[in-house]
Amino acid sequence: MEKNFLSSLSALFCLCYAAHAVSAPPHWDYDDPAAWWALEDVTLPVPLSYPYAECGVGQHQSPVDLGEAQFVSKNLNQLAAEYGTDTITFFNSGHAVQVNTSIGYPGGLKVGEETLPLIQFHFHEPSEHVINGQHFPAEAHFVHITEDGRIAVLAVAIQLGEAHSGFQTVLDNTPVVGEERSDDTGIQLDPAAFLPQQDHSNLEYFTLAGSLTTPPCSEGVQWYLLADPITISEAQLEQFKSFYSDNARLAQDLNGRAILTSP
Amino acid sequence: MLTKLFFAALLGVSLSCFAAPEGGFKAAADTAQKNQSMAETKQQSRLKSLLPETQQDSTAPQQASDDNQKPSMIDYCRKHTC
Repeated sequence: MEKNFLSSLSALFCLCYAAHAVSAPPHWDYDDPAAWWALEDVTLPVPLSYPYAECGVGQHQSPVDLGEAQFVSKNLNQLAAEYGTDTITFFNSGHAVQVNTSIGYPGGLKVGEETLPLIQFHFHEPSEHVINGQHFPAEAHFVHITEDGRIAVLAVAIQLGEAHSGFQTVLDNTPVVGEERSDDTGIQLDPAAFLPQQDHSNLEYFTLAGSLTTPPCSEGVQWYLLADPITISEAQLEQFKSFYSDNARLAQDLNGRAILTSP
Repeated sequence: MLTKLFFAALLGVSLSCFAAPEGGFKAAADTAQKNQSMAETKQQSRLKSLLPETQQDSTAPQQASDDNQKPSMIDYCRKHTC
């Protein structure tokens, strides 16, 4: 009897420990992005206990201040946004308003001859990339990821001006709490509607190597910054702020990186 | 704490003293081209030599540096703002 009790107790202990050990990574927020690197997962041994260390020690971090960068002319790959209408999912991630594409969505970003699938796009307020410290009112990030883990993010500056009907659809359907809204809303959107009105098969852009702008701040991300902005209305910006405001990381050191641009 | 206050103050000043840049990211390139036009050729050749090999030869995306995240990055980025 006593043996059974001890066995049960030890099993319970192991179960509790295992549940604790696989607990979620540390919570982060925008109150103190400079301290993301120091957030600790006490369930892991050092150095694994600092899952966001790259936010602090990385040398190719994003976003950056374009006003401080050197621009280098170079013959760049042709960039084409080959998106299309999709039954998208509205998602409140707890950090941003986000739109996920459906599983198997064929749309993507064509860089030269390779196409990287579009996984999601989301919005920051104000913009994360700045010019001489000046923010745009907002910024859209289109996140593309290949099966082998390569990431390319297309960034679009958002200015105030004409209202954006697609953005209104996003605002009106994004859940208030951080839960994924089910696909049965049936709402269809073409992510290309969130790009500037120019030839989407030959986008004008700047590019540099960077990182995710949120923890774990993984590097190896190729950034493509579109030259032209899109617009939303002031009322839309205010509605957007009711979800998130100041969800933008500060500009990071360039550390010798240049921004490449077509001649 | 001091760093936090500094960055908060810096952000506050930048938000209150400056309007949003005109146009899109193109504005940065236009300004940079004006500022850099004089010594451009000389500086660019120097910069190019400083650039990592991957930037010089290709603009194609590289693999994310955290090997542990590769297989689950698509799932991760659906569930998180990455």
